[in-house]
Amino acid sequence: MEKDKKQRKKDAPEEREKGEGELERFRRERDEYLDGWKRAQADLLNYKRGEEDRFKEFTRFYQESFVKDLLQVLESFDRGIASLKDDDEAKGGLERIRDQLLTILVKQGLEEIHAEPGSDFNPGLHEAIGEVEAGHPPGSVAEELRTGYLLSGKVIIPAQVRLSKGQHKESQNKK
Amino acid sequence: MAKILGIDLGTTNSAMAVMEAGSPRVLENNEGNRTTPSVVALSKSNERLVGQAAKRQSVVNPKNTIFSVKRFIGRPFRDEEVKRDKEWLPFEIKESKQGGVLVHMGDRGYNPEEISAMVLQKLKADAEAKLGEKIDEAVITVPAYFDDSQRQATKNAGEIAGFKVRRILNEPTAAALAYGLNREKNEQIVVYDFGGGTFDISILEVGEDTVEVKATGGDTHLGGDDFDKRIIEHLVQEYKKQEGIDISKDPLAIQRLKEAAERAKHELSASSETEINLPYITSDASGPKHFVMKFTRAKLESLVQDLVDRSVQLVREAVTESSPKGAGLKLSDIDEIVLVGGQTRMPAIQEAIKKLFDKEPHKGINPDEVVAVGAAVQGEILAAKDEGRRPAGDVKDILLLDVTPLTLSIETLGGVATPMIQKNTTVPTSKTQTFSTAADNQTSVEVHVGQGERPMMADNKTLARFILDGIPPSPRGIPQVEVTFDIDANGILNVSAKDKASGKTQSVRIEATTSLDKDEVERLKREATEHAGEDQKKRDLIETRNQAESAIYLAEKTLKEGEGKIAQDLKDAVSKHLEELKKVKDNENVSEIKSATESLSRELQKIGEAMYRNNQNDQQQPQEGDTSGEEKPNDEDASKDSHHGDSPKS
Repeated sequence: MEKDKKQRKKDAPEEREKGEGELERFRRERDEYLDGWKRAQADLLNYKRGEEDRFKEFTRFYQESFVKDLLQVLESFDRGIASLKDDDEAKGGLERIRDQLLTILVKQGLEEIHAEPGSDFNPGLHEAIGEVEAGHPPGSVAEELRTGYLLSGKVIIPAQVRLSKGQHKESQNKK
Repeated sequence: MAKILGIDLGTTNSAMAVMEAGSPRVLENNEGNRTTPSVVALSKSNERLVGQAAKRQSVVNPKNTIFSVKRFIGRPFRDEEVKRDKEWLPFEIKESKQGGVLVHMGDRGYNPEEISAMVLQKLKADAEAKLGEKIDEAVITVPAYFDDSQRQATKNAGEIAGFKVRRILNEPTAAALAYGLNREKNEQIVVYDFGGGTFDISILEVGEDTVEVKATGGDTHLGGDDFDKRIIEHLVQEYKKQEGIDISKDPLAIQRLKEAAERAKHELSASSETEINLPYITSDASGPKHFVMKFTRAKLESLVQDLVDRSVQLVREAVTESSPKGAGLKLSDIDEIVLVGGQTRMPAIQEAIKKLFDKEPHKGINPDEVVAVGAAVQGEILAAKDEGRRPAGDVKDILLLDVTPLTLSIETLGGVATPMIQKNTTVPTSKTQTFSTAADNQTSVEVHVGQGERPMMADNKTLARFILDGIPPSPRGIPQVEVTFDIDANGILNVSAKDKASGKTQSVRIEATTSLDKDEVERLKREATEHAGEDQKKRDLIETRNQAESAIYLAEKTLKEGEGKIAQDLKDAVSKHLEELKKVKDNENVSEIKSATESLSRELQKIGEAMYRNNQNDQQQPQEGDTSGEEKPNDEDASKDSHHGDSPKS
């Protein structure tokens, strides 16, 4: 017994050293694994966030192409209505159907873009497809030819306009 | 971790992408679109517009709306391609002071790189807004046929826009990279790129750690827009037949028809028939008119068959024609085919390519975005290298390297193009060689850098010239001028010359406007093959003349320095042969010059022998300049390696 005790006492510094070495290794491994775990957690969170963004992007892409297809119908209604005389009985009915469709699209985030004659041309919202003599300042909007649309803040169709060239002197004189 | 933006700076549209968590992500611009028109304008209210906004006012502001500027970047104004484009572009271009192109917008001229920089600046700002962090570095792609100056100009554009351009990458290489095709070694890849306004073919070979462009081809004025035009023309004609109304003059109707034609084209990629239905397209005295027409895939294909056939023929040529026109391969040698550009969605094109190679082409990645995606992949490889980590995701960790398309040379005595860096050398690379002067007391040398395969510099393309002066006066052949050619990973060349004695250094970075255009590269390559024999003759003549000049110099020096030490009969013989050689050295007869040079050399040797005997008799040490046997090799070296240029004048 006595001998064993003595032996243990003798071995103690070595064992302590060995134990400390192992402790150090465990600590290092703990830090390494913890770091790896944290990174894996962060990667997962980032992935989830990214996936959410991708899903939103994907949904918006399909929503946009669907709304764009429906806008063709809305535009055809507009043209049809514009071609009818005011006293045409069908006109009021068609206007109601058109509004019905527009209401559905507005719920999807659609907004109309209008370009008032005389207002500044804004290439962020408008597309110029020609110029015409008009009583408005040169370079400003002379007339709107086609309504533009925004979907959730993004221009999906710009309002098509003709810009004013100003008024020709001769035509001014005639007036 | 800083992101490196991958940018496909296109002729018609540009796109950008980054790598996120190991996957490429195409970034939308501020307007929410995945591609941005490469258009810049100065609006009537003096506002600078870039992208879609610039495009939306182009009809009313054609002179100040700049598009297709990529066609001019890094090209000289006199380039045939520039002349051709000048004819149809609505904006004005002029020659810049450096001989390049100056695009007129508003009340001043802009270099093409400044215009491209405006597009890049918008992409940078939009990417930063989208990602919520600063983006300082980019990989920008260029067509494989772009030469040094076009690459340099593109790099400049990136730098003007505030990027540190980490790499100028070939578009086909980027496309191949997006599909991970750099993993298999020794593969031959065809990249078929049908863009909006250009059609490019590239044949790539993936080597150990390089992607070599073996051949390029295509048509810079063939694109998807030509397909759209054909469809619209057909629809207008058919409507005229049906209703007797020409709607081509009605801008609003044409606009609607354009949109419908594009939609129909897309639909016919998935189905075999579609209906174009445009109510109230126009009106006449009888009331409103509608446009309703069935349009089939077969009809579409018949309208554009010749364009598809032509593209296939161009691919065949680029693959099978022998170098330099093509890659000199068999169609069956091709391992992979990559499709790029929106037009390649057309089933008829996919079928034609599949039939040509008897292989299924790669088409999984959106063909409008594949180049930007590849640029982002390259960006990730570079970022990972910076950070000492492995690239994220399924990206193979190799740094893509390119090769020089043409030999880079320096002009030496007699107008000889002495190669410094051979063509198809993998870059980055650096080569240093020591040259000397061609005349006594020459204090400056002209360094004339050229590109091309011909042995005479005059037949190659000049890239730069500069003068290194301040060389201490010394006999010819003594000064040591160290010339270094250094090509960085973007293929951009820096040349420096250093006089070892004085330590004076001059260097030049190859400027953008004086470089070769694609046709010229092709012409130079072609001519090099055609004129091989003729060139050799020219080279022989120059070398013979150089040897004659050296012999004359040596004879004159020997006579002068040996005054009083040489027997008269020997002196007379040397003088006689010296005069004879002087008479014939400038004619074109190589054998006559050679034999006169040999005769003079023989007489000179006799002097050498006599002097050696005298020296032995006198038991004296040889005197400087008297030993023709020692001088000769030096002079031969001087004649081979000396710079041509100021030597006769100094």
